[in-house]
Parts: sequence; structure tokens; C-alpha cells
Amino acid sequence: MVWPRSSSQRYEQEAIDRLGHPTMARKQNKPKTLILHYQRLSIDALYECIDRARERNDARAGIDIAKECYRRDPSPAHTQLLCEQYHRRARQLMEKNLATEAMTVLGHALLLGPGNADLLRLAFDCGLRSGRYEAALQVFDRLKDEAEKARARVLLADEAVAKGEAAVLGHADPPLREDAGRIRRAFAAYERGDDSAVSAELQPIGLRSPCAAWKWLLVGLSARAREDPDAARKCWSRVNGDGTAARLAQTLMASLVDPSSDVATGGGRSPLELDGWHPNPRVARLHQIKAALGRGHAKEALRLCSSLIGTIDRAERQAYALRLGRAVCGLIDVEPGSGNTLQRIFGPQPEDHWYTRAAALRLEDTDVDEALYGWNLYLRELGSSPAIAAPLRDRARSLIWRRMGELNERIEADGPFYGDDDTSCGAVACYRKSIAYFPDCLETQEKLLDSLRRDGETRAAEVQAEHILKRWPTHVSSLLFSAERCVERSAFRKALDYLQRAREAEPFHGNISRQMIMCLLLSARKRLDKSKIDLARKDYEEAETFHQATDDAVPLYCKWAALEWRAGDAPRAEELVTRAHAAAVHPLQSCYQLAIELSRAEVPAEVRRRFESELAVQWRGRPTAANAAAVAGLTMAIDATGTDYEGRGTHRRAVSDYLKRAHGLDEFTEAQLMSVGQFLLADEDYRLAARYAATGAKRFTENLQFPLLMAKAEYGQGLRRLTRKSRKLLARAKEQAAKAGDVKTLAELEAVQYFGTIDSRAGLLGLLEAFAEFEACEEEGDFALPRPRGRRSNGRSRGARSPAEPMLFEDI
Amino acid sequence: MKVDSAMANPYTVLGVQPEDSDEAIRQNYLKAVRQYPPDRHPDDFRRVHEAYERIKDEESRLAFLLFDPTQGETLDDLIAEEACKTSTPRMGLSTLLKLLDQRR
Repeated sequence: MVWPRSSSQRYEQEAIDRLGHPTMARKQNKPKTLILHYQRLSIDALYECIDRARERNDARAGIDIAKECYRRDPSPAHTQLLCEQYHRRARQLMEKNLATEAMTVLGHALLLGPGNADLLRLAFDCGLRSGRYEAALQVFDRLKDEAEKARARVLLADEAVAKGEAAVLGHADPPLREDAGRIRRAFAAYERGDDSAVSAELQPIGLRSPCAAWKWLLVGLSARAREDPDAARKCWSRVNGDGTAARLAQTLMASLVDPSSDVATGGGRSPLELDGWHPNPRVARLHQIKAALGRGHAKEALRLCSSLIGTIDRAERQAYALRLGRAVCGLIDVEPGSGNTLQRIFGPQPEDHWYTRAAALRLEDTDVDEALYGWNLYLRELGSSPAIAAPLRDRARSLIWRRMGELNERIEADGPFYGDDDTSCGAVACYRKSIAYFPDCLETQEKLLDSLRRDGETRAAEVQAEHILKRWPTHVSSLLFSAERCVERSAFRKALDYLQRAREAEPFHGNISRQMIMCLLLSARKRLDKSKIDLARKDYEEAETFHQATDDAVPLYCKWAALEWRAGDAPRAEELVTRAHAAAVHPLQSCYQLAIELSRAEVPAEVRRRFESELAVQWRGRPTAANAAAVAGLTMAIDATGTDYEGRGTHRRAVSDYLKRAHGLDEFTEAQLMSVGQFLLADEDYRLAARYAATGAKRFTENLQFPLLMAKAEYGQGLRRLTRKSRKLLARAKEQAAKAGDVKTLAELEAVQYFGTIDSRAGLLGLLEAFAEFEACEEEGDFALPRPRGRRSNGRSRGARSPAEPMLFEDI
Repeated sequence: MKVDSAMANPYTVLGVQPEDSDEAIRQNYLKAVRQYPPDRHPDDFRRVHEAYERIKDEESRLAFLLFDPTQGETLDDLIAEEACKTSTPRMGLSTLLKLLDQRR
């Protein structure tokens, strides 16, 4: 029947509008009306209806409409359209777990044609899920893609293993049937603990079998049962895909990787525990506690401890709580004095004041002041601690005071402006208290001595060294220190006594012999000055006996020769001069030393003139790096002792001239350049010092002292600001120091750059400022470091500075 | 005598008690050294030697008691003890599949 156009158009529009609510139409019990409506619509309108049905996700309406299109014209396009609608509907049914219905729908789709890969895949899955294995296997035969076929085999294997029904096994091919049976038997053997039977069943299953995933799963389960999580993890990681075995393997692996997972959710209970996967809830909880401590969540860890203790039987709860408390307190950042919280959770610790001790130990790494406070608390509690027997308590106190001394040393090493002086009594005081409780501990006595020396308490250190030597007469460090002090007081014989005792205690100590030689030389000098020639000669003879092949014998023979000339024994003196020349690396060294010693010894003028002329010849010779370093070192040593002698000025000029000529030699080593540079700086020959420093900085870029030396030399020349080259070298050195973490050198470089010299008070404060900046210490705000007068706001100075001129501070 | 951890309790390593005398500890140390000579068991010898140095005399034992953070049980010790108490149960296929369905 053909409707009139206008009314049919109107009818179409009404039908479309009505079809906008097909559910309502169905509820009006007019299903056939819908089909009749479709029959009256044009193809385009039907297409439009299908689109609207797709938008509404109404696959059933889509099927009806597509059927109408197919009925009118069973073209390939309409066939495809109908298949698509069936496919969509089947997917909807599968989402609702209606596998049987979905399979029915897909059966209609498969009647229309071969179907695409997605359709076949869905049909196969539906067939398996609905238990229609025969249909599923028919779909399997239609699969063309090998990957799809492999997947399908795996799913079939999953069904065969999981269900084990004769239905699926009957339809499966014999290899699959056999493998699935083996898997099931292997599981049974695994459950009864027969691992050898498991291996025997699994062994024939090949890697290409669809049941291979199940095989790896079982091997992993066996490894897990053997408490070998690594092997289990390795096996389960080989199970891939989306089959049942793969899902099981992923879940089991999650239980291995992080048994304490998801502490923050589920009220502290892991999903694994809730699922019953974990065999031992206590172990899971302990892992959770350990993980919380590892993350630094102390409160969470204590809450978990509390809940774990609550699950323990009453009879063993107290003992377990004590053990857990001790295990946990060593890992937890607990403030000393917060024992009440811990006692509430873990109960009182009757045997020892564990919390205070554990807290103090823990805080030593992070907050030394708090650790000292903790140890102080522990000392007070020590008297009532039954863990330490009464006879040992004083010893324990002594050890704790020593420990506190070491902690104080750590604070003191940070500088005088760091640390709270009110809480610490100083390392020296702590060591004294430790010695008071137990004086027979050599280590504490040594630490006290070292601490006094470090603090510059020389007299107190001497007294302490005496105390040590009273108890331990052969203590070498104390003997050497006492000898050093005697040398400073010019008590050389006494120093030699100490050194002799040290040498007897440690005959192979190389440094003792050298110190004895030095002591004897000084003693001889003192005796020579008093004209005690014979006694001085004895000293030189004794010094010669201590000489070793590697020692420098030139000073000894030169001084001795001078003595002999003073005594009038020229042949003996000549012999000693020969020995000195033989011992010297180069004649200049022996000639220079000889000239100095002859002048100091006030030998006859003609002898001095002779050796001066020999020296003059050597000065005029070709300069060498070794000679330059040697003469610079010798001159600096003479200056250090404050020795003056006739002709010193001439020698200084000759040395300076020699060093000028030696500059530029390629044979200078790093140490030689540094030695000469430092001598020139001390000698105030700044220009030449800067040149040597520049050479050193250029050749030895890793040595950060050369830029420092150069900067000091430039400041010494009175420059208003450092040269560009020096600034670049300083900047590079600062970078290197920062990278190496050399805080001290970095601070020196900073101070030199901004304050001129670190010898001045300004330099010291600048050094501290550099330290503070480097360590980003907030305590810097406790006092304001004043800037030197004349400093611009951008950090540059206004005028020239000379090293001798002190920096002026307005605030100090 | 078990020597398998550098941070093991020195008393456990040497098989002695804190109340034992210096001589008894030394005898056990020498026995351990004969068992683990340095040329054949360098690692074990090192651990035995380190353990001995930590408790060889009264003072060092006292220092160990006071200052050693590893003294006493750790969490790992407790975990190992609990894990030993119950062996890992062997779940059968049906249990595994049931649990998997529950998680789904």
C-alpha cells in the first residue's frame, strides 16, 4: 500500500519521534507495531533509526531494524549491518554474564557468514563460558589467525584444567586432553605435598603446550611452598597472556612482592590478608610494621604494633610485646623521655631502660644534642638497671661519659657557633668524668690528651701526658708529645730522654730517629752558643749514629763542619765538608747550608769568605727546580726559627734572584712549585709569588691551593681587586671544591675572594659565613655577621686593601 | 656454629654466653679459627675475628651491651621466627579458582 506523500512524510516523522522511545512503545504492548512501523519506513529512515538506536545503546532495536533492511535487500552491506547488530547485542549480554543468550545471538550471526575475527573470538569465549563446547570448537575451526587459535587453545586448556569435565575433555584434541589431565593430577599431588609427583606430572608438558602457563604456575607454587620466593617469582613472571593461569600468577606474584601492601587502606589490613592469601597474618603484620618504619611513619608503625599485640594470646602477650618493643625501638625515632607512650604499647621494660638507651643510640646520627640528653637520662637510670651488674656500673658510666665526650667532639668540630652550649659540658669535661669513674682505660686517657691538644690547652695536655706516662710508661704518643714540649722549652736533654724511651718502645718507628736527630742538632747548637764545643761534638756524633740512609745528612755535616772550624780542627772540618757535598743532591744545597752554618758558628772570616765565594759560583750556575725548592725550603726554615746571622740579607737577595731565574722551568713538580710559592709569599715577594702560583695553577689544575696562593699574592701587591685571571681561577677552584665537598677549601676560597686574607678577623668571620652559606644553616640568624666598612652592597670593596691593614667593623 | 651474617650477634657467632669468662670466649674463638682458617674461609674468618674483637674482654662486652644497636632481636628475627612456625599452606586448584573469582 502506498501512502499519500504528505501523510506518509508526516507518518514517518511521527514514527521517528515515537521510535525515539521504543521502551515506552514496548510497554504499551505494541511490539508488532514496531516491526510494522519499520516496514513502512524508507531505507534512509531505517538507517537513521539504527544510528539513534546505537546512540541509545539499544542493540535489540538495532537488530530489528537491521533485519528489516536485510529482508528488503539481503545485500552484503545489509548482511554486514545485521552481523554488527548481533555482535553488539552479544557483547551486551556477555557484560551481563548471559553467555548462553549471547551464544544464541552469535549463532544467528554466524549463520549469515564467516564472521570477522572479533565476532569469532567473542563466539568462542561465549561458547566456553556457557559450556557449549561443541559450538565453541566449531568456532575454533573457523579461526584463521594463528594468534587467535593459540589464544583459543589456551582458553580451552583453562577450561579443561579448571572444569575437568568430560564434556570439554571429550571434545579437546588428545594432546590437550592429556596435558590438562596431567595438570589436574599435578595440582592434586601439590596439595598433598608430593613435590616429586608434581615434577613427574609436569615434566612431559612442553613449552608450546596450551597448558604451559599452568605448568609454570605450579612450578612457582612448589617453589613458594619451599620458601623460595625468588624462584617462585621467576616462574610466575613467565606466565603471560589473559588466561586463568596468568591471572592467578599475577595475583600470587603481588602477594610475594609486597606482603605489606596497602597499609594505608583497609584499616591497616592488606587486601592480601583480607583475601586470605597470606599464610600467616602475624608475618604479614610484621612486614607492614617494617615497611612503615622504612617509610619513617613511626605513628603508623606503633599503631600496627598495638594491633598486632592485641591479636596475641593473653598468656604470651606480655613477653611478645617486650620483644616487639625492643625490636622496634631501635628503628624508631623516639624522643628520649617519651617512654610512657612506648610503655603503654609494649608494656614496661623491666630488665633495662631500653627505650632511653635505644633512643639515644638512634639520635646520635641525626641530633647529637638530643642524643646527649638521652645519655644523660640513661646515666641517671643506670643505677637501677639490673641488666648491668653492680660492680660494672662505674665502668659503664665511664664508657657512657666517654661516648658523650666523642659526641661533644662532633659538635665542637662544627664550630663554636653551632650547637647548644647549655646542654653539653664539653668533650674535655666528659673525658675527665669518664676517667674519674675508671682511670685505667688508656683509650679515654688518650682521647682526653687529644682533646686538650686540639683545644690548644698545652699545659693541661702536658700534665695529662705525664699522667698517662705514670700509668703506661711506654706510651709512645705521650712520650713524643712530651718530647715536643721539651723541645719548645729548649729542654733538649729531657726531650732526648723521652725520645729514647719512645724509641725503645717502638724501635721501628721511623719518625723517632729523625726527631732525635733534630733534638741533638738543637742541643748541639745550644751548646755551641755557650762555647761547649766538646759537648756539642758529642751531640753531633750521637746524631750521626741515628742517621739512616734516606735521611738528609747535609745539615748535620754542615753544622758539624762549622763546629770543627770553630774548634780549629780544619782537617776534620774539611772531611765533614766533603761528606756534606757527597750527601747533597746538588752542590748549591750544601754550599748554601755551609755558608749559613759557618756564619752562625762565627768561624774565622777567611773560612767564611772561601765558602761564600764557592756559594757565589753556585748561585751563578744554571738554576734547577730541585735547587730552587731546596733553597726556598731552607730559607723558610731559617726564618721560622727566627735565626739571624751575618750575611743573611745577602743570602736572601741571592735566593730571590735565583728563584727569579728558575721561574719558567718545566721540571718543577707540584710540591716544588707550592713550596717556592709559599716561601715567596712569606717573604713578601708577591709579584714573583703570583707568577709561581699562576704557573702552578696552569699546570696543576686539580690543586686548589694555587688559585688561593695567587689571590693572596695579588692582594699582597696592593691590588684594588683581583685580576681577571685570578678571579677565573678562583671561580673554577670553587666549583671543584664544591663538587668534591671540600667545605674548608671552599670557605677559604670564598673568604679570600671577598675578604682579602683569612688571617684577619674579617677573614675568619667571612670563613664562618661561607660555612653557614654552604650548609644553609638557619642559626646564622642568631647573630649578624657584620660587613667590613667600605663594602658596597653588591659585595665589592670600595678601596684598596693591604694585608697589614685590619678590617674595621662598625658593629664590633 | 653458624657464621652467615656480618652483623650477626657475636655471642651467636662464637657460641658463647655473655656470662662466660674471657678465657672461655678465647677458647671458642680459637676453635672457630681452626674451623675457619683465613686462607680457606676468609669471609668466615673475618666474621669470627670481628665477633671476637667485639666481646673479647669485659670492657668490650660492656660496650657491646651499651652501644651496639644490633644487640637484641630485630624485626627480621621476629619475622623469621613467625614464618618458621607455620609453613606455607598449599592451596588446591579449586581454592585458587574460588579466590580468583572473589577478587573478580
